[in-house]
Amino acid sequence: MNCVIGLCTKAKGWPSALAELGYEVQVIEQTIGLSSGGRVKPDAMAVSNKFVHAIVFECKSGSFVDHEQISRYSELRPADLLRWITVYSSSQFKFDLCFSVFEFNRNGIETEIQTYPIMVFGKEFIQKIRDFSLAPLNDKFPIKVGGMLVPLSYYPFSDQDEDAVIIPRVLRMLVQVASQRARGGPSSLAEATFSSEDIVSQIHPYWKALSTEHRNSLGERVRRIISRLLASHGDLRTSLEELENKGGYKILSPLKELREKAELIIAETKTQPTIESFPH
Amino acid sequence: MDYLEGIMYAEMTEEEEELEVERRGKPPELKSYLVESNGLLQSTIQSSELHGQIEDTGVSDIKILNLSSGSHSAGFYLDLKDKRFLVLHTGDLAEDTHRLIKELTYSPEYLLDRAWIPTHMLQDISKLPGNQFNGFGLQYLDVFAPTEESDELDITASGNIADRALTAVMSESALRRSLSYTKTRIRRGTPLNYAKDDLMWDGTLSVRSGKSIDDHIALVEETRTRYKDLVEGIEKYRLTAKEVEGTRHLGGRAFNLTFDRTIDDLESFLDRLLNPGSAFRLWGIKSKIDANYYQVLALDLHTDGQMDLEISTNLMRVYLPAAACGNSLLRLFVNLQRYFDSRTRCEEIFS
Repeated sequence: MNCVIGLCTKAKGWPSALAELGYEVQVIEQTIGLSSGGRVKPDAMAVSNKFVHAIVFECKSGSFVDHEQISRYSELRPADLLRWITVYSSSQFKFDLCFSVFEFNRNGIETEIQTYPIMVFGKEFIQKIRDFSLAPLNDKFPIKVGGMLVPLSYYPFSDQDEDAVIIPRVLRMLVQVASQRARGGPSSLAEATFSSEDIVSQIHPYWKALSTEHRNSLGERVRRIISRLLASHGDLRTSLEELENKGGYKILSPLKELREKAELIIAETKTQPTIESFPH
Repeated sequence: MDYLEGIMYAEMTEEEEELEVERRGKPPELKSYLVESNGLLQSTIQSSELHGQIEDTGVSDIKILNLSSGSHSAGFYLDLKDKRFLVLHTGDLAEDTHRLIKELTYSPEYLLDRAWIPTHMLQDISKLPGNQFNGFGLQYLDVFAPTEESDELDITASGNIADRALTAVMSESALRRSLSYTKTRIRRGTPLNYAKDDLMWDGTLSVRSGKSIDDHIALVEETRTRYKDLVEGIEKYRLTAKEVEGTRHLGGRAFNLTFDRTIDDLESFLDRLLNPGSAFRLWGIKSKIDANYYQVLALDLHTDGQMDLEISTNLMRVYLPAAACGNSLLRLFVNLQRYFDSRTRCEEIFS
């Protein structure tokens, strides 16, 4: 998702191939009702008003292909999309469904998906398999990315990611809430604090654009992680308490400790075996 | 305005203005401080050392603010015409007023911050119609180099030679990344009725000579307007999800800060950048993505706002979430110009 959004913005250190054609990611995770019945939920829709064209992205991180999903996508029509995106001319509007994959899961997807363009994100290039319906878009490929700096922060994680990806942001949020205590904010140590969507929503920059199901799932995940961290790291709890009690002054010492603790916790999380690492 | 004009009536002559320090027995300068507010200022200010009281004047949007801290005290006229970008005018001694303003804007309770005016903006304001460039101050301190190799530069010039002095300094290639403006001196008005101000990088305007209150206030207003436009322009790039015809559309993008100076040791650079006691006032968790690429999940300790950074040897991407204040980016940008590379650029801020 970050790579796709990055291609649609003018960023230094990362190609702006889609932005140059006027594409911008308008919508993510939108459930779209098909006029034929049924629903699809693309990961992102990038729209170019220059060409009155959209790329409907399905981002695949594994090798599994849901053929029923592909069948539903085959029924997707321009009118179904126009309910959710903004284009200058609905009568001329066209779109392409595109599957985005990484080099490591390319083969499985390429075998299973025979009719739609596939965008392959490799270390050196972004390549396409099969053409889009728009010639200027085809002409952009392959897109050189070797030695470039992939954007990481537009879409930092989803509920499908491991705890190791989410924990750093949870730790920052805990420190942020503890710092705000001096201005009358809630306590980072109170469970009720993270029941508030106002607080939890700060974990993801595009929280409001996520689907309701995804927000609920992420919120639950964040609350579980916080509970576990505070229960298993008493020193973290102590430092947060100290930060809250300082009232905004003389906070350098607890902040330094919190940074060290945070980096230790993150390092521990990365070295812990996950269920996938056990032979089965 | 009459009171402020009264202070200016006693202003120094152009000959006397060269003495930088306000001295006892000589009239103190009229000073105006541009301050950004992210909250409602209470009528009573009470923190550990700082005390203050806001009083009505009977004039809409003008209040009196009396501040004290320890042995320092001063009175200000508080201009609330813009509820977010406030101006505090005073004729009291700089020794007191500078300190009080610093305490007020550093206090975590009041959500106030100084203006952070980049080098480009100081230069641009000095060239606006009606303004005449009359001097500059450059200051640079490399806080990222090992102590024994640290560069430091401090140059001030004013009057007719200022232009030539600046040209001479800028022509020296070894100095180019050390030319961070601390101030420009700007003259406005006619030969007989004028104001000559030092416009500082922190939003302080001090009248060095002249008696034209109208010209001083005009410069204050120009600075306020331009600064406000800059901050609000930055905030349009925050990462947001906006309602468009019943759907949430993504908005925002990263800011790309580029350096002429290469960061040789990213780990060490980030340790200094993320030192909460430094001028940058950032806390953060860093993670190494690659040998020359780090991500930082940062907090701006002044606003407690989030900021995501991606840093490589000559590039820093900055992402501001929806609740972030544009002033936070300017604080980072200006401090990088002052303490790392004065040629730090950001096309999104200055195209």
